[in-house]
Amino acid sequence: MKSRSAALVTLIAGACVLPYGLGGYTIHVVDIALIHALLAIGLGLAMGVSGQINLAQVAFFGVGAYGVAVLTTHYGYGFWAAAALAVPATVATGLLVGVPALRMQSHYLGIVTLGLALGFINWITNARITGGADGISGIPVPTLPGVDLSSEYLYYYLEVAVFALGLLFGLFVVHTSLGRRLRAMRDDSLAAGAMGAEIPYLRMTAFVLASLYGGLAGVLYGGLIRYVAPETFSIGNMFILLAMVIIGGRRSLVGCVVGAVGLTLVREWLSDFSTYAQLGYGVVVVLMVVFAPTGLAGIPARVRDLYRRRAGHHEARAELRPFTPYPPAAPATGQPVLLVAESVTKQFRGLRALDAVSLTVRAGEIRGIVGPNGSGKTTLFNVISGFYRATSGTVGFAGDDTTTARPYALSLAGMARTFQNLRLFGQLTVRENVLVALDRTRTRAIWQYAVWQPGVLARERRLRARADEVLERYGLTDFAEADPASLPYGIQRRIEIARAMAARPRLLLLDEPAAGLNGEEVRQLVRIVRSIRDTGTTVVLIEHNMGLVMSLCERITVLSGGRVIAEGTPDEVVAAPEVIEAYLGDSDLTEAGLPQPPTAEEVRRTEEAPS
Amino acid sequence: MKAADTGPAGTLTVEDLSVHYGGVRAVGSIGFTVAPGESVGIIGANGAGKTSTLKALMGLVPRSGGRITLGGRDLTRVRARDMVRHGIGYVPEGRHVFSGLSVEKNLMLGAYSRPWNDGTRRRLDEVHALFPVLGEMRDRPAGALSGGQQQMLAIGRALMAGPRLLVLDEPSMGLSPKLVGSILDVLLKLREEGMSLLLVEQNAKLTFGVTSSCVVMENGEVAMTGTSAELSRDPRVREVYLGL
Repeated sequence: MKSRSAALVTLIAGACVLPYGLGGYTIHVVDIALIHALLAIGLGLAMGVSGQINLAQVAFFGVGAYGVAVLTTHYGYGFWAAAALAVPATVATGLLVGVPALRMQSHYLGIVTLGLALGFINWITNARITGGADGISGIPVPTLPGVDLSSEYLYYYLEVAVFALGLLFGLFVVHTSLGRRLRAMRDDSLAAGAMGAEIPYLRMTAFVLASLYGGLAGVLYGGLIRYVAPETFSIGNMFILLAMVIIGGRRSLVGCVVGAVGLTLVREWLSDFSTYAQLGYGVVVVLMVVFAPTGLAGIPARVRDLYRRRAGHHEARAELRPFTPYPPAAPATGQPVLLVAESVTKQFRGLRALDAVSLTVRAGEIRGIVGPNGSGKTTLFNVISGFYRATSGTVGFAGDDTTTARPYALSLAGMARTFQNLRLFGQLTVRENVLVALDRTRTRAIWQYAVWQPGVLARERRLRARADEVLERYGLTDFAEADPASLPYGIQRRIEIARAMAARPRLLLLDEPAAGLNGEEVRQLVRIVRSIRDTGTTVVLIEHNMGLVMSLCERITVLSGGRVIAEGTPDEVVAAPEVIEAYLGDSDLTEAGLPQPPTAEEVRRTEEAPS
Repeated sequence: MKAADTGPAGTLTVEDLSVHYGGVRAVGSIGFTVAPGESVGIIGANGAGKTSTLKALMGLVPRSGGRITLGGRDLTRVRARDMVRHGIGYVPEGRHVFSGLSVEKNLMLGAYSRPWNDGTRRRLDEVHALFPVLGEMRDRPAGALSGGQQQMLAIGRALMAGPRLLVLDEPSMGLSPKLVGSILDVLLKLREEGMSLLLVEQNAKLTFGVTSSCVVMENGEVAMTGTSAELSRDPRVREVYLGL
């Protein structure tokens, strides 16, 4: 911490004295570099942090710059008044450009945003109000009492102040709740939705952030150069901006800044060889993408890893510790119906995955769903949790009709799930994975970011303390900072359960929680699920491990070929000939590998016995 | 499915294999052998280093030390994509079939290291005989298959290259009890035909049903080795690893 604050002080002091050593032209280059850095932060927030391919950043830059130019020269506004209007106008443009992101993603979104940027360039090149290809000159010097901002040296300080605030705000966003949700959405938008992240709002937020920085950069550019023309906002410059972000490291805002400043300086050095320079950027971008996909920002971590391996530096092996049961809550009385599916059918083209499936689960129950592979179990979970919309039939949760509800709405209403194929957020640490689910605030609470940052920080501290409690309870403390993809399947499954439970759900859907677990681990899982039920959470689980299903579930529903072929107590179900035929085969449940299922009588005895 | 149709199967010898992720040691100096026609299992808790051992053997994660030979030939420096040419087939954890391609194309890709001739066509027929369902669904995209069918496809695809040693990581994961039975039958049939097997598996019934000996891993090291019959009776193995 100490070395960090020392570095910060040095950095601030360096930024303050920098102009004293520089010539007139060099300070101009530095001023331009800072504007590029602001643009790159905005692009990094949209692309690197939120995963929204935004090739319209150069247009946001243009809206800000042209906004100031038009308002000051045509309408006689002062510089600051024009700036105060141009930045909101850019954000409004950002919202418009973001609309397509609600429907499409990845390269489709890239093409659409590129098209919108081209449209903008075309418009400023041809419209009379923008001065056509000649652009607009004569933007007034921004006034500041006692400071002559026509000096590029003094303008530098204005820029540094805006840039520093912009970087701090960007880092604040990335490292707190909003940024975590944006990153979770980037890694896996389906899983983020299931954890309660309101994906449509978050995508719009990404474009708002990108355009906010674009607008600020545009305004500063207008005040610095006092002349705007279309070639500054060309697609070629969009490419260089993209190169800055990729070379610097799109996932790190500091990396984006380093890339922007570095490439601006390199471009100046190479200005005598501009034909080759463009080619050079292209080569560097390709090399970076191939050999250092995390950009310059990712290199220190790679060097550190290499050094540790060479030096034979051994960290203590992380260990999965036992689960600590929840303090039991008073058992639910009356057992109202919590989840109802009524003759749900799901048709995929020619395949009827679910055929009039009905299911009623009462509060406080542990329900098992078993059936052959491909019988529609996961499809049923996907319909219940809002990932698929039923072709016909209805789903009700906690008394409401949720047939058409979105995953995030169901999550906020108290439903949580895990995924058969594991959908942890790969670029987030284990603790952050849990934090995404713990954070139950609505996305619209982001107004706090604009007006009351201490409130955000205070909430963040509370959430972190709670996340550590969750990790401790699930025995995952050693893995808090780990990258989930590096962990064995069994531990990832435990994290999935911890993450789902962090949302404090009323209904927990577990999709094959025991897959890849050995006998002892299955026994621990049984303890975990029992304890979860004892807190009053209803559990529905899909599982092939019959020992687990038999010892945990009060009732079992058997699916085969998309239909319910049996439902009843474990003993009733395993005795049904159609279940043996379709699912169990000639497997003997008491053979090695399957924990011996207790009889219904034994289960009753252990449950009645005071523990 | 004839094993050893590319020459006599050799003994796989793994010595002092270790794997580090960053500063963390996942596997530390482990060694074992798989003789021709033998079936060896690796068991242990989650995080013991089983999957890392297989991935390091296949060259899919960097090894920080160790020596691997097959029939006396040194494979330590052989790259992952060339392991298949040396007769080692790999069925990864979680299947990893090419979901956009048809079942048939997936199988053909398994044989891409060989010329497409009568030998490969015969092998395709043998895979179809082993897994009739893959023949019935040959034109379906692999992604539309159920989990169990994808597992069969992953095994079938590995067999297409005509391996002498088949390395399987958790083939029973996510399969219904009936399908675990089918996988067991297939592995037994392959063993009968002389294929060597190296199996990581949590399902004790499958492990002890197929293998003749096992390596028990704990914290990245070999905790014990023994015949499958001995280990399945060992109270500590039963208690800690199998949960029986």
